[in-house]
Amino acid sequence: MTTAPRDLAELAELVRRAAAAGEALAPRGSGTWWPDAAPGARPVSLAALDVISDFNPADLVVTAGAGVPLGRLAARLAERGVWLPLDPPGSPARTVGGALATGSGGPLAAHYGPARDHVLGLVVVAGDGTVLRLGGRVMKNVAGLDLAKLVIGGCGAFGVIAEAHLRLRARPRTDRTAVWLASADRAARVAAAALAAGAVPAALEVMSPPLAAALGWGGGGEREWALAVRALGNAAEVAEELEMVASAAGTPPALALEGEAPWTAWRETVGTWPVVLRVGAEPAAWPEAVALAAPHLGVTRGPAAASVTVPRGTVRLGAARCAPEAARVLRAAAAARGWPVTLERADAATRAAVGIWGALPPATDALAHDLAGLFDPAGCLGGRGEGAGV
Amino acid sequence: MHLDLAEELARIVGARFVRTAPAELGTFASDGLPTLHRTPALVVFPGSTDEVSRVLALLAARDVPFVARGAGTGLSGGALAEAPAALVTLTRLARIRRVDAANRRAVVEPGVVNVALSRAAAPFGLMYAPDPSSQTACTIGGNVAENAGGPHCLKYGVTTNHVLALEVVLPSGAVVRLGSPGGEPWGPDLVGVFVGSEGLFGIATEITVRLVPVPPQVRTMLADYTSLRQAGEAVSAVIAEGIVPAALEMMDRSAIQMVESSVYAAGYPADAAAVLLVELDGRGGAVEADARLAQAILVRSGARAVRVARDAAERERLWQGRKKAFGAMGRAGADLVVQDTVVPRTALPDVLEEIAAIGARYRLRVTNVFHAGDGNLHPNLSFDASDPDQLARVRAASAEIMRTCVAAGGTITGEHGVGLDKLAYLPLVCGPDELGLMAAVRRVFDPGERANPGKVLPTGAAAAGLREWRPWSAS
Ligand SMILES: Cc1cc2nc3c(=O)[nH]c(=O)nc-3n(C[C@H](O)[C@H](O)[C@H](O)COP(=O)(O)OP(=O)(O)OC[C@H]3O[C@@H](n4cnc5c(N)ncnc54)[C@H](O)[C@@H]3O)c2cc1C
Repeated sequence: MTTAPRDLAELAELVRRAAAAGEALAPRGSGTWWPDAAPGARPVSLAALDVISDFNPADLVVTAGAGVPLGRLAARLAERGVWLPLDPPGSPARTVGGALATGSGGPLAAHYGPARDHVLGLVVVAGDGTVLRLGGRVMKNVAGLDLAKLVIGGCGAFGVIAEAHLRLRARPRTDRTAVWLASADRAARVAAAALAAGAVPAALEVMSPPLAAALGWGGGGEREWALAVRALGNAAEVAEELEMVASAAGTPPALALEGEAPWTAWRETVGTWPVVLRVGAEPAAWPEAVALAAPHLGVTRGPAAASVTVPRGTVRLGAARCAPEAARVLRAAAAARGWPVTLERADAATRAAVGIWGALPPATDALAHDLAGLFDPAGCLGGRGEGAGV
Repeated sequence: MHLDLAEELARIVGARFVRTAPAELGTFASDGLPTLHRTPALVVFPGSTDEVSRVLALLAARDVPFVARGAGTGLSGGALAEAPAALVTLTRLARIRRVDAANRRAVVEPGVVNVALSRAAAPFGLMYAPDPSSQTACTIGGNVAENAGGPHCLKYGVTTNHVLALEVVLPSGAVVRLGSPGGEPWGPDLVGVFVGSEGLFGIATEITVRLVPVPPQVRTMLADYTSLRQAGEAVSAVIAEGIVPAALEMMDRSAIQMVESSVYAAGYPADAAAVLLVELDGRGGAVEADARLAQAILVRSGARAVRVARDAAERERLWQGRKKAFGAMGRAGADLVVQDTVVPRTALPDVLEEIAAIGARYRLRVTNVFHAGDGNLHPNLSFDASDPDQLARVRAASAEIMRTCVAAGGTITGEHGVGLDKLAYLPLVCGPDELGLMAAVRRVFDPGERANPGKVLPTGAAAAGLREWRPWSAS
């Protein structure tokens, strides 16, 4: 049975009771990203916490309930000429709370950073029902410890996000994307050359042939990796940015696209991957990270479904399923290079078997475990099981 | 009593690098905050991660508290240590281990001076973006501990947006690595919670940071206003237009006068009520277009004149006044309290007026030099610390300024931290549940509460009302 608290007070009361009764809860946003809740945990829908309570375009701040769908938030912001440069994969129904809880960024993280860089403050319900107000609504704030960082990307283990104060930007006047199709080697060389020349694009995403083909940008052949560069700003800025990448490439782009549409398509397409793994590599090491991961994802022929946010070194890989043993081997190989592998998306059974983060380095594990235990003293947010697996 | 501790520390770091003489300890009794002084039991200068680890393990075994210290430029008293605490100074850990241009990052030791990193990155066309006004002195370790900001953080983000990974020596002496070289967290974002922890979690001994390309073109302009309110309104007008200036700084009449009557005179119009220093950076055409737009907005918002620097020398000169303002202020009164609060940008005009009224009420000279684009105010109070009456007025005025900013929807510190100075004010923005949780989080890193004791979080009687949090494993 799903419960859907209508406001913060009801949510806090619900968590308090569950904690007292030793009951496990599984907070949910739209339910489109993590498709199901852990068995034995009571789903708690946050869909009713869908109020945009405070919106100050002139201060570039908005306060949105956890249940506000990202698509609706974007539309509301656009009416006033501002935007939130946070574009995680998935449907526009994905919620603010869900995106922050998984900590996901998207291609725009290349320039604007992942979810954590957009959050000024959070209202969170800890695992015993205590309402925590972390951070604030101003651009800079170092008053006390920055506890919100643990909640963002904490996958629910550090409390239920009820509301977020988000930092906005003025909407850029020009939005253009150029796409080159090339072999993986050449895509890597062009990306490296563009960055070495000083490129600062809003997004610089390399997509493997299956993804590029799904977006209608190529036929899926080995030499049809897509290097998509998005430039935002005033017209001159956008032109200069794309020219810089074009000169690094030595050829004009195969495609020149306007506006947000291609990236909405990227979000929706990556949102169809049942399992998404995220490898955190160094920017220049992405080809190695893709090669390292592919054999463990059940890909027998051709390249895996992959999308790389090059300036951040974030490598996203899609698969139909993920076996625990394969994930363990991949994680061990990645760990030897210093790369974490996060299970960004999967069904509950896979999450439980594979673990969202896998085994953490021992010292980190002890800290993470003790911290999660503080925020979730009764263990009702799955600090010990689902959520984080810490 | 500390003699044998000093001897044992000397065995780890070498006798030269342990100081116990009172005269030497005296030089470490202050940081950038002029109102408080504390003398440590001793000062130790470790020269490697391993030495830091062995020093902290020894201090743990002896149950001796300690305080990490970078350059000691902090403005909240964070780097002050009081005996029996030991001061662990990190200035010997000053190597830039790697500038990795292909990955736009650098690996540094904590004692590296902020500006030295940007200098080392410059040959690769890169820079370290967070640039506190103290950047020629302050260390990256201190920046991490305070989550430091700076004029160019408006566009580029503050320290926390630039730290990818950390090596930390916990108060037990154990060495842990947080984050990953690419910046993706391992599990929960422990790097994120460490940045800004003001030395309460241990000592950062290696820091991996992002670097960004040096912008090829920079355009700096100075707009002068005959009304403080208009200058405040212009700040929001520029941002609302979609321009993201690299920096947007404000100085009021008092600041202009102090700068212009000092050796740092920058040619600011001495009769202006306020000036805005607006800097745009990027590539040629883009900067050109934004500069034209910004100039038009500044004029429309009531600027009497907008002066655009024609060359690097003029640019330097315009910035000199801003960067040396603190030095100039230092001359005006014997002492200076640099306040640090944040308000929503649109509240600036009202709040500036209220602060002026507070200054008048307490008969104190208030000088505003601040990061206007972020709404990060620095109302500075000039006074003579040897006069107890003035000191009392400074404290009362500071408290009122903080209350005013909190009431306007803001906070008590945007970049200088809580340290000792703002201990009493943290409850204005954090409740007993949150403060109690912060204390519990601190104990996860430092169960004995020996790292930077008595800072940031209420202790003793002040802590009585805090909620106590226990991990499930203990409850
Ligand atoms: C003239 C002037 C201008 C300034 N302008 C700015 C500004 O624009 N923006 C801004 O943010 N600040 C500014 N500051 C404040 C100060 O420079 C910053 O807070 C700076 O980050 C402190 O660095 P530090 O090396 O001097 O640290 P210290 O003062 O030595 O220490 C500060 C804190 O960091 C801790 N610490 C130091 N090193 C470590 C480490 N390796 N690991 C863990 N903890 C550590 C200390 O225990 C202490 O709590 C200014 C100060 C002055 C005097």
